[in-house]
Amino acid sequence: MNAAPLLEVQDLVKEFPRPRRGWLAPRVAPLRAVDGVSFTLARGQALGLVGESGSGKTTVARLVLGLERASSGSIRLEGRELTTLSRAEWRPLRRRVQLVFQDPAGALDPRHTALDCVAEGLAIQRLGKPRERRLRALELLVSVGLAPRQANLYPHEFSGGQRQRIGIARALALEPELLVLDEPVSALDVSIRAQILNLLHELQERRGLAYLFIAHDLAVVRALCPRIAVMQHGKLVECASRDELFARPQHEYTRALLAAAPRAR
Amino acid sequence: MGAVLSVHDLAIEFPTPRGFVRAVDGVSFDVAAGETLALVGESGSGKTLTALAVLGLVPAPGRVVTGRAFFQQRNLLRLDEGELRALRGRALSIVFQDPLSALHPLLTIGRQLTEVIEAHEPAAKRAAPARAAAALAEVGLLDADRILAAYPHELSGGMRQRVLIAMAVLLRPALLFADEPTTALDSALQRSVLELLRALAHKNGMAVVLISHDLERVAEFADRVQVLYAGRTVESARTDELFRRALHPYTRGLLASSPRLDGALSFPLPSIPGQPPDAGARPAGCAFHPRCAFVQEGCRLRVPELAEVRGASGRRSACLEVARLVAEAHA
Repeated sequence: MNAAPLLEVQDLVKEFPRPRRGWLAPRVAPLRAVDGVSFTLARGQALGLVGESGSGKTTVARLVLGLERASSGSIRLEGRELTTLSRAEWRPLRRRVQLVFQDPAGALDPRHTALDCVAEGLAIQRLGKPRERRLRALELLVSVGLAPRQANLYPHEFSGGQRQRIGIARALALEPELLVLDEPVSALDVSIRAQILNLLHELQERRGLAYLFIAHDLAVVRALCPRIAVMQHGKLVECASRDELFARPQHEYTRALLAAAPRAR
Repeated sequence: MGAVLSVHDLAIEFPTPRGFVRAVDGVSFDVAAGETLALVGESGSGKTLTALAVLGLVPAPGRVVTGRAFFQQRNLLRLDEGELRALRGRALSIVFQDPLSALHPLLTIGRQLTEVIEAHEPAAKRAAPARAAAALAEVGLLDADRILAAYPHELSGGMRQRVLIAMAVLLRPALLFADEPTTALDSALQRSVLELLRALAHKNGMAVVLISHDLERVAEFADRVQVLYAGRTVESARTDELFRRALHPYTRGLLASSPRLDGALSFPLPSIPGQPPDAGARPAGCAFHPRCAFVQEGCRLRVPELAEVRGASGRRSACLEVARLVAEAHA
């Protein structure tokens, strides 16, 4: 058993260069999208990352997924430093950290059936024979609540909620330990949202998955995450247990977020 | 107070390979001066089409097949394009979801605002810049000079949405449609934009129809709520009464399944099974029956009419089993 937490992020910084306003204009300081963010995430735990758009939460996700390179700081997966890895070194690790997108329609190839969408990841990692992959993909589709007869339908033949189920099955195909969920329910109809949250909760219990759950909707994050981190202007301004955060918000910005939520009736 | 807009029995059809499909099927509503009505429904409920029909903007090949929409003693559904154009932007106006695509990217905000004034009131040309600045102040954008000179991409999403609202209310319309006006915004901004709409409705005596998929979000800012499902109204009520007790199983399911900051934290969260039907594949009888916890045999056969609920004065619901919901609420 490894003693290191599943994910450990320390003093993470990501800067993006900003264009000058003309070739004679003075140099502009780079934009600090992520500014000294630290948190840890244990196996099987769910951490919510909330903040408004532009707060840097999606950049944190992209850094954790290795889709962006950190300017400084460290990201460790079970103690192993990720920020210094080359592309080739990343490849075998990629299956351990998977992403679920906000917009399932944009994330699925419209020319692939649901089954192929899920089997694709297995093929890229060259896992199993084609027949085994298809069988595995079918199992996954059923495990996220789709019917076997739907496996050969194309993404446009599904509703938004069903497409998100396919996106989740696809992320699970490589048996990751960590799922990064970037606004996974915000594009869904209200009556479907709770279904997907229930599915995510069930999968987490069954598979011992850890979630980094990114959302702007505090009520959704609260439902799934016992710990919540709040980001503003690239900084992590507060990180607390769910109960603590709602009972005694420490940071002014957290209080503002709570005040902006729909009022209880 | 009399209704500013009175829509009766509106139906909109679209041709499909399998024949005509009724995307909106017999929707009626009134909205009075200074009042905010929320039309709430999920994708495919017909809420946006309903608004577009009133504005004469139903996209082809869709068409309005029945209904009346009385506004200032005229049936909007009978007006020709020229007459509608004279009303749109002036007497009736709309704010769309995505402010970036609703603004011209290559024109300054000032130019876009003054164009609205000049198009409808050519005589007001000289006063237009001052009125544009005043309109920005009205929506809480105090740095008017900078914003008038700015291009849309130079403003934040929240500022752009305020600019669009300023543009929509510039000519003091009697009626404003706001179609998911806050969906593209962050939660703190959502609240401030909805507060702004409500303040403008009160101050200017403007009737507002707020269109949204998110009942919890808009409820606080609407006087009345009308819930649509699969092209039909399933329930309409005063907002406070609706939240005290919903009298349609769908409304009840929506309220129960919206995660809330003060909600219980035990899984599974209450949810509505299944999904809303496509317009072309609606189930027979009540369109909600396959997802309904109160379903009885009759629900598969008969389409329930929206009617006053016996034992709940002033409430309207389209449910054959409504008596059970009323009884349960009293129990």
